[in-house]
Amino acid sequence: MWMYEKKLQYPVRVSKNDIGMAKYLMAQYGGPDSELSAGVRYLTQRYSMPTNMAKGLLTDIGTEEMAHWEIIATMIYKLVKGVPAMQLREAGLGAHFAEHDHAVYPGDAAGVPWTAAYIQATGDPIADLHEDLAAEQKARATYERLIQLTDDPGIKDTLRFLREREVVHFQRFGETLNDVQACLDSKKFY
Amino acid sequence: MDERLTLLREIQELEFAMVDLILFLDTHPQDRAALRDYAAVRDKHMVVIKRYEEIYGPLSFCSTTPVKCPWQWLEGPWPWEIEYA
Amino acid sequence: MTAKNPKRPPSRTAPAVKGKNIAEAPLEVKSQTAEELQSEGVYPPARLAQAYVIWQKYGRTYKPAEALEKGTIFPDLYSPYPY
Repeated sequence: MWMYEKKLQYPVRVSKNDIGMAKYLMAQYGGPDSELSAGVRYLTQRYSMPTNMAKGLLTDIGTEEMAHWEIIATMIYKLVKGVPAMQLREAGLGAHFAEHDHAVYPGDAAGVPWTAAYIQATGDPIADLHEDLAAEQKARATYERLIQLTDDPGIKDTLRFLREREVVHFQRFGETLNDVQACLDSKKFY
Repeated sequence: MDERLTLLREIQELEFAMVDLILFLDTHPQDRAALRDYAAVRDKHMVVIKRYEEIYGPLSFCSTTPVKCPWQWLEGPWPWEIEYA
Repeated sequence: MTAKNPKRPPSRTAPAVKGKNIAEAPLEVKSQTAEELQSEGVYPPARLAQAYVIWQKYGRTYKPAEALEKGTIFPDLYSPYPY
């Protein structure tokens, strides 16, 4: 089951409104390579993993990704906080405002709603872990682009933190893949 | 607010160390050095959490601090509202 | 990789059970992780058509304050992005 801890994993500082940046950050909130996709993907794949290590790691990284999803939501929330409708419209968030006001809705940077079609759970542990490795690289690459799109120091710090987490997650998925492959190999001898 | 943010930051730091350690332990379950370091950070973390919750209220619904009226869990600010220094 | 085993493989419990079934495994069955077996060369660390990521070894760690700033407690995994 899930517990909620009433604090952010990382202290998110936003120095001023930046509606454009809020729009780009939606990519990591409700887009194909978003933290939401990562969280749901890992928490879904864990049910069909063969080893305790894989079940444990997917649960733990999946849970951490939900904490990151919260961080992205916080950045978006702070970036558009108090911005009036006409300003949102001028900056290209008019459609978003019409449908969602200042709500942080899970869609991508173009407003396309999140879908489970962004994730796979093949039931094949090798295939699933490779998807996870790819997902971490895609997220890392996206954060690198997002870091270049802003000069707000608080946002940059937060994005660098999230980017580094992807690097670490990749390493863990790699180790789990090694272990699952070795484990499945050994079954051949039964 | 400054004192609250300082304490909160300390919790974030210790808890983050725990998270990175548990991911390492997930793939290295027999690493004694990592297990030892995790136990040490966890002990420090428990102390700081208790200190924070005694003053500012529960951080989770299974907090062990004395129950006050009204229900403190609802108190703001919520995590996305806090202005971090 | 062989065809998917229709019977879901059981959860790994004691790693020692694995060593027992491999011809080249050491005769004394001690509890070992796949990581240890791989670095001892019992399992080949890499093979064709298979991805492999080097196992991280536990070493120096940052203090929690620096770790939170950097995004990891491990200097080995720290990859700065200065843009």
